[in-house]
Amino acid sequence: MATLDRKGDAVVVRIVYDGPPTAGKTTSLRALAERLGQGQVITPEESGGRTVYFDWMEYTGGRFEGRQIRCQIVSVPGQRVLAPRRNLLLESADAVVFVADTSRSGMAESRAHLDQLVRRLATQPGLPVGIVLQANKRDLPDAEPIEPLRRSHGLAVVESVAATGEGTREAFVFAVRLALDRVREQLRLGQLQPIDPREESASELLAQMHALPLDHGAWELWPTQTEAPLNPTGSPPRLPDTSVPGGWIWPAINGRILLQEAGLGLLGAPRELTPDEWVADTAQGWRFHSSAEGLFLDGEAGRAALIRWAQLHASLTPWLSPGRCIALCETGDGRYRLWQVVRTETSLWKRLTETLQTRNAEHISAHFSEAATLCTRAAQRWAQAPWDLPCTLETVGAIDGAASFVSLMPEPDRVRPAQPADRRARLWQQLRALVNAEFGELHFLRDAAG
Amino acid sequence: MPSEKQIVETFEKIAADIPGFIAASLVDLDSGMTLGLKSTRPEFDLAAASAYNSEMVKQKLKIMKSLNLKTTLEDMLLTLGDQIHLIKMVTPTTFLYLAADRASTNLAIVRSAVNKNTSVLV
Repeated sequence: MATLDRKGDAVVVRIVYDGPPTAGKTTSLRALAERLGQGQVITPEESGGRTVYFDWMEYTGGRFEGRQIRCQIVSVPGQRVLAPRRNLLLESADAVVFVADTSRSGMAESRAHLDQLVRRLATQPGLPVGIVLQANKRDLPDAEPIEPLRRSHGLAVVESVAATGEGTREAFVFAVRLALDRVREQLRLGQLQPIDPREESASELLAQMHALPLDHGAWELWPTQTEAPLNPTGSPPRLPDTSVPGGWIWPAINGRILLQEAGLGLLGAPRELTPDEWVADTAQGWRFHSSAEGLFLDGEAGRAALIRWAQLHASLTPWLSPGRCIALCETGDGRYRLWQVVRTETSLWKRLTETLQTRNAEHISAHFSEAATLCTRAAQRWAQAPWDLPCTLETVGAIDGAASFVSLMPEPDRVRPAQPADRRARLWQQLRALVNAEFGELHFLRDAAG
Repeated sequence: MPSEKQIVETFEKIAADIPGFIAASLVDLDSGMTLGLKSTRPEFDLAAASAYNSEMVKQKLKIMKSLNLKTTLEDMLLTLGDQIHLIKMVTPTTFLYLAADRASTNLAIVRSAVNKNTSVLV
């Protein structure tokens, strides 16, 4: 949401560049930076030329109601598994530039991604967020007609060739116009708040993203074992198994039993998700995950981290899905890695999107009604937890009828004490958007809202 | 909307027709941001000038509305000590801003060059 920088006498708006992977979001930002001749693009991390967190640039120009306009221009990571990071950015957008890959090979994914974006933005509380469609790669010989894209959601379209910068300025200025429409409405409603500019910086955004888990529902869509890992660093690390020493696993006894079950039917070697972050899946529905922060040079430091994490897990046990353990093991190259091993449980998001695909009105109605009840229960339960657990349709699932946290646990230094928050409102917004996007307002939700 | 390339090409033609051409930009009225620009003087902050001019145009439109004038704003000609500035509405949401050296040209030349070349900017 736009804010007011009283010191700098500026209105601050955030323009978010969204789009499928390799559509040209980062290229667009870099071209825009060159054209606007102000500032540079900051990319906290990338892997194989792909954005891992975000790209960030700031531009101050234009005037609005006697103030400068300061634009924070941010592009999202495009890969599905990084969806929570993307969602965080979309939640803060005042306008979105959707960069579509309009080549023959990219058009289908662009369309699907745009559909998902429109649905996503509809779920967000607050004022509507405008979208500009930047139809990119128009220089390619197999560039597809853009009329179907234009018609599909009635969006303004700007054709571009981001590699040369063509069209990037127009798309950006159009997005600023949309953002200012939103600011006007904020002003009318008295919602434009002053803010400390230090709280809205690239480093603050990065800190927020570090606390997010990844979208494990996207793992099924990841490349197969035969494809090259994102950032090859040599051999994959060794996975923990039942030979892990005592004191290196939690829970002490059941953890070893779980590891035995989890280790069966591995679907190939661990894959590197992002630099130094590894994941492995099994046919029985277990996931091994180790973050970049889970790598240690000595065993004692790893063990200390395991103990901290075990304490966190223990305090959150009533809220977590069962079938979890954490283990420290040697990587095979003289270092130590901390893993969490989680049995896959179906999140509400996965369940509901699968239900929608059945196109069976009766099933849809029943499942959404159950989901609505579960969301209310989840919000109530999460409010009682001692630590702040992410509460979205992607992290909530039903275990024996109770709302449980089914996602990966954030690392210990990324977990904060519980904060008051309207979790129910957020979950309901997501639910409504899924329903409205497909079928319009349905009576059962209104009735259930009571 | 014309592409940035078309905008710059148009400004190059205008610059060729105006002796003493300094700078020109196509400006989005709502945000004051430039959609395309050309300048012969790096020290002339065209982006800032465009932004402030957008506020001037908006104020003029407010004045016209308050006077209940049933007409449209076509252009604004400003004569400075050593420069001429022209603001010409291209569409209801964009305007062209041009600055030229007063010693080398005059209002008629500026207006003529702009009117001859702006159809492409619509």
